[in-house]
Amino acid sequence: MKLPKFEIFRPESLGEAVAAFECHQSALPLAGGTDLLVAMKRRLIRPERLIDLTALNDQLAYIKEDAEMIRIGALTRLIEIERHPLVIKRLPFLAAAAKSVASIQIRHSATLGGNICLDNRCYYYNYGLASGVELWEPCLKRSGRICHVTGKFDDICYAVYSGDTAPVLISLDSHVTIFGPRGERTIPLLELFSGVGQTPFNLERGEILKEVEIPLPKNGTRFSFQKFRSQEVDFPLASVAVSVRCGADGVVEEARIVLGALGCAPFRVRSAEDFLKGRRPGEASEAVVKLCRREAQFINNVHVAPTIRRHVLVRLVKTCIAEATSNEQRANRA
Amino acid sequence: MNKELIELKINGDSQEIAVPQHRTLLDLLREELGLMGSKDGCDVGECGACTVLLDGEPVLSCLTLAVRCRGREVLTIEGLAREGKPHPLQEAFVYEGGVQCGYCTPGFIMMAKSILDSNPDPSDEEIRAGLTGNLCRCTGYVKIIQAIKVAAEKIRLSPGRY
Amino acid sequence: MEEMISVGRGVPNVEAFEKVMGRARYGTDIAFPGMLHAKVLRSPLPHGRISNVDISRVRSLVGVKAVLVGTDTPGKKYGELNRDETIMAIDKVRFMGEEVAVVVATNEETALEALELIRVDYQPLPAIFDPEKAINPDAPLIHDEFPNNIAYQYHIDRGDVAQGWKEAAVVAEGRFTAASSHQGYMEPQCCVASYEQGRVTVWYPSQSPFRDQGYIADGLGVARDRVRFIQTFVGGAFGGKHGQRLPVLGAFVATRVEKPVRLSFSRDEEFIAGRPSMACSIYMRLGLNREGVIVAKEAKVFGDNGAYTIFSPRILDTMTRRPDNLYRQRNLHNEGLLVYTNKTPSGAYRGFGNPQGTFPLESLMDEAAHKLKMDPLTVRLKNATRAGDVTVHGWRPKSAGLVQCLELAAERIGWGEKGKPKARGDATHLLSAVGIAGFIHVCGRRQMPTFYGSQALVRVNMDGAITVITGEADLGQGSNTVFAQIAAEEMGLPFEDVMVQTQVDTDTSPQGLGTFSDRLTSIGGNAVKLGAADAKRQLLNFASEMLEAAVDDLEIKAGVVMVKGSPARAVPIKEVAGYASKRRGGALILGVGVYDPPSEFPDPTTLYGNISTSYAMGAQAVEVEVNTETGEIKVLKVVAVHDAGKVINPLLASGQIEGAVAQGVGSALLEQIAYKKGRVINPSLLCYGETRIGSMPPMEVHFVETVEPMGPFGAKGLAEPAIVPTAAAVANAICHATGVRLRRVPLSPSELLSGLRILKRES
Repeated sequence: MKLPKFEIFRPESLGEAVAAFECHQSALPLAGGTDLLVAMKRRLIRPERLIDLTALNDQLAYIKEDAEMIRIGALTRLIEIERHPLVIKRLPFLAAAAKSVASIQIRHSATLGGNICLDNRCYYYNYGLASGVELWEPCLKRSGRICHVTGKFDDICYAVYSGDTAPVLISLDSHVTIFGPRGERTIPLLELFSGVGQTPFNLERGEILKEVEIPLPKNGTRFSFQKFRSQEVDFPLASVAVSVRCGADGVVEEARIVLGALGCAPFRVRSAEDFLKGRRPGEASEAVVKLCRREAQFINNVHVAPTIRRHVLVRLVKTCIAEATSNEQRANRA
Repeated sequence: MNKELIELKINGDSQEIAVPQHRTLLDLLREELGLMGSKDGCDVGECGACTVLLDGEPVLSCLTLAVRCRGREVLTIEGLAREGKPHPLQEAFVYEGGVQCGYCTPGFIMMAKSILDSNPDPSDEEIRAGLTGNLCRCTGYVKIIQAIKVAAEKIRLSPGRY
Repeated sequence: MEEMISVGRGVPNVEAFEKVMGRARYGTDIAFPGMLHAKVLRSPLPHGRISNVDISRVRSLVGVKAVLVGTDTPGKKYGELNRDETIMAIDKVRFMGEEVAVVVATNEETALEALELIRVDYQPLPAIFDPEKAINPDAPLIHDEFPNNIAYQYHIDRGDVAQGWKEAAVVAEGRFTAASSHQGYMEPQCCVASYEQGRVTVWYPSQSPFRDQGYIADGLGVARDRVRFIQTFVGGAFGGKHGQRLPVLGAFVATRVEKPVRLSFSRDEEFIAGRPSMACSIYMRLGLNREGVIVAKEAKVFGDNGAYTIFSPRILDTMTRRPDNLYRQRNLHNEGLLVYTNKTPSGAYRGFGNPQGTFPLESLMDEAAHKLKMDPLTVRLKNATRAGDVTVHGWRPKSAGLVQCLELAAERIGWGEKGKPKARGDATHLLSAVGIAGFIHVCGRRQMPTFYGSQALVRVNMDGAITVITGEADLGQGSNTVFAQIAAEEMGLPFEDVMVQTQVDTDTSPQGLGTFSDRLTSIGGNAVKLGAADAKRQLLNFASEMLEAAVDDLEIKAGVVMVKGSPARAVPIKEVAGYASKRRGGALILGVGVYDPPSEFPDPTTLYGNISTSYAMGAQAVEVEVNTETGEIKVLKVVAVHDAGKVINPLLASGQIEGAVAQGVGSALLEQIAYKKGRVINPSLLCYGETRIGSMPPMEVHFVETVEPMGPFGAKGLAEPAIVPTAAAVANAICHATGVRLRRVPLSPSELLSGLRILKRES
């Protein structure tokens, strides 16, 4: 599948990058390209110009630690994150989440920023166009009017958020710094996600991610990440990221429970987090599972049936709670 | 069509080529340089048949823009043999039965080289984890894993040579 | 028996070095200076009339050399059995993705751009996607010549099935369905075609170069010799690289332009316009008497033909009839209906219908055994076909290792201990158990009353090495290597002295029908053996002059002709070849082998006869773990036991089994082309579920070596059938573990959960 023709502009600085977006209506940022170029090959999007961010690597690809934060530049490749001693030591479940993305080859190109901003997925969108044949009439996400999941016009778009690293980062209360035409702003990562399937990110044109800052977890915080998919390399069909801090008495003081691939955005199950607080994890597990199941959306637009994902979620949540509250912090596996 | 003049090294040879900005590295290798060893199995990053080493790291050439390879080194299957002598991976794939139709083979061998470059004595599990991005339809993967282990042993016996 | 020097050795594939060095040229690698590129405009409707095609805007695009539509083609219908296809759609489109127009341009990007400038007006017609509904009188008619959308149908009766039911102590029955799978070859289809002086040359990775030559000639409406077909290296085929429309279209396009033209499929085109395996629904009833002997069987099969036919009637037939021969059956009634639907045309995939047909039979064998409270292994052993039998459909296997295969598979999986469900430690929701299933397959099924064989040439070169030249296609399974081993063995040469001409060219290669129906070892191999024997005879005649000995007193060992018992009187083949050449004014020795197997072409109404000279058989036993909370199914181990007669090359043979089991596991659990409203919803390797390395269970591969008198050195066919029993074995294991019987392939976790819920309610 050939790429459509386009131009590339290679800014040398953040300022140049922003200006480049302002000049071109249909310009998109090119980081790793492993999702963008696929969408272009399938003719789902046709930007006339790509703003190649590689020249910004020196500024935006790093993993560092200061007194209070771990800071990861948005252009840091996933392969660096999964292998970095600092990440493995301090945030092993972030390493696990990074490692669970696609294949090694893809992780050598794909960036953290790109994974956070991974476009939402739905098979009526991603495979709506095949070799020039419109298998599905352009849906809401392709600027049409119908959603093929429901068959209704002008309904909600149910394309699912499918990034792996965001749920983990959200469970760590991460913030993201965004650079754009109006300068820099730092927001909680959770607020980056619009929950709108067609336009999943609260980003203005010309804004790009600059850095993710992760507060160093307080002593006693433990984490877990679980991902479900039918085979390796595949996008998540359900994922759970949990961080829990228990007191000396074994009662939960603070908890974050984040679900991925179960809605149009990654989200915290606050009802489950509130329930868990003040209780012992073992006793609360069943209720937490129920609350997660209630809030998760199991849309029939991926290749594993909603029923199965509903049941698998139970296992993912239970495993995460158990791992994040065990006496030993074992290495997380996706 | 915008073309850029780029200099890069391909299998040890410096090249200066004018490439359209939207050209992928895979198409550059195959269509313009006649290096047909890297294969197009899907062109969207799902099969690994196009795997090459870029500055020693495994990437999917179908999703790598050629212009982004300016100033970098590309190693393809055609660059593995030394003075006509096959690389231990190439030999092992032959003798262990790791090649049937052979279409996926260059991608597997390049990925395997990458695995062995950083992990000279991998377990079966580590080999499997490293190869998730490569699809094979003929072998059931059994003899591919075996071939990599055999090659790994041969390479370990002559460290630094490969 | 004397120790063999070549046959039985695990020598590596003779083509492997070219492949690992990146030098092998596949269909996608053929290129010529100034070559043009063609791209296809495809139908956006599953069913519709083409009312207008407007190509006016394309002409103005720089670089476009030709725009062709259906009305430009010869327009005659062609096809192997039903003549229902044209090179492109002319007045009607019959599936979403069908070829409507083709653009030829100086590069692929321009061709793709041009496609967007073509405007086609359609009148949509109601479409039908379910074969069981498509036969209704009020269903939309897809082909005018085929009323009720029936592409083919048949029924056969054997024995007295009514009487059989009376004798049945238990009856097991059900409706079984299988989804369509893609062959999944790693090389998407691609051809290059060039037209000069009234002849078209086509390069394509075909598994049957001569047959594809025929389809092209048929489609173009020209004599065969106007088409030269050159086989490139094949990047996997599994039944999917012959009988396709792509090379016919490519050949046609070449006749309309001045330069060679490449026509290629992108991967998603493979899913919407390739020829994937036949989806089907099978209603089957099986009756066993009190002793566990099969007394009656009935089956009604609906095969989903898709929009066009190619070889599908044979696939339907195989689906219904082939598995019957596993067991000593007497009374049965089979009905088959091949039905057109407005979907991608179905085609051949490894097993050719046998996997779809074996699944119900092997499932019902287990169910019936359970009803009788008998061990399913015992029931199978009781009924298994044996050497010397005449089966219910007239097959006469001279060798049959089915019983040994079943026993060995059962033993290796731990059948005795693992029949009952076992929990994994404390995890009571993780249950494992074992299951078993068998298969029988042909080694080349006679498809025509005339020549169904193979021709081979064995040329003795001046330096004493030999070159084997066949018309059969090596797809990577190693047939060329096996032919080299056969020739070496037959002539007493070191294997290293044998070369094989690796790619078939219809202008120069001897006649070969191609790789399908598991025919290469048995039929191609015998032709090579005969050709080698002929070359050997000629050599010995000359050597007898040189050594002044009678031909009968001579033998060849390690490339040297010697007098038996007097090794000092010897002469190397190189010298004999040189001598022979001098004696005949420079001519080389050329051995010719022609083998037409003595199999029967069955009467088309009774479909009864010994359609193959030998039959491969085998069994797979699997251990499966089920998660009763989520429905997830995991295969823990596969033991695959195969009777392929004498195994000529254990390295290549085990490779075939491993690859076939991988596809079997894939079809059983992971893979399907999913349709919704007639559209493929998952046209990509990732969501189609092509089996990845992490999904492969540990495997054991064993061979039971029977001696097959009809095969070269006792060998039988090997490459196809290990895909056949996997789904049934897994379903049987799941049933042992949970009591739930799954009847749909791929086996579905949701259905497993529903089944568990029902069982819980009932108990």
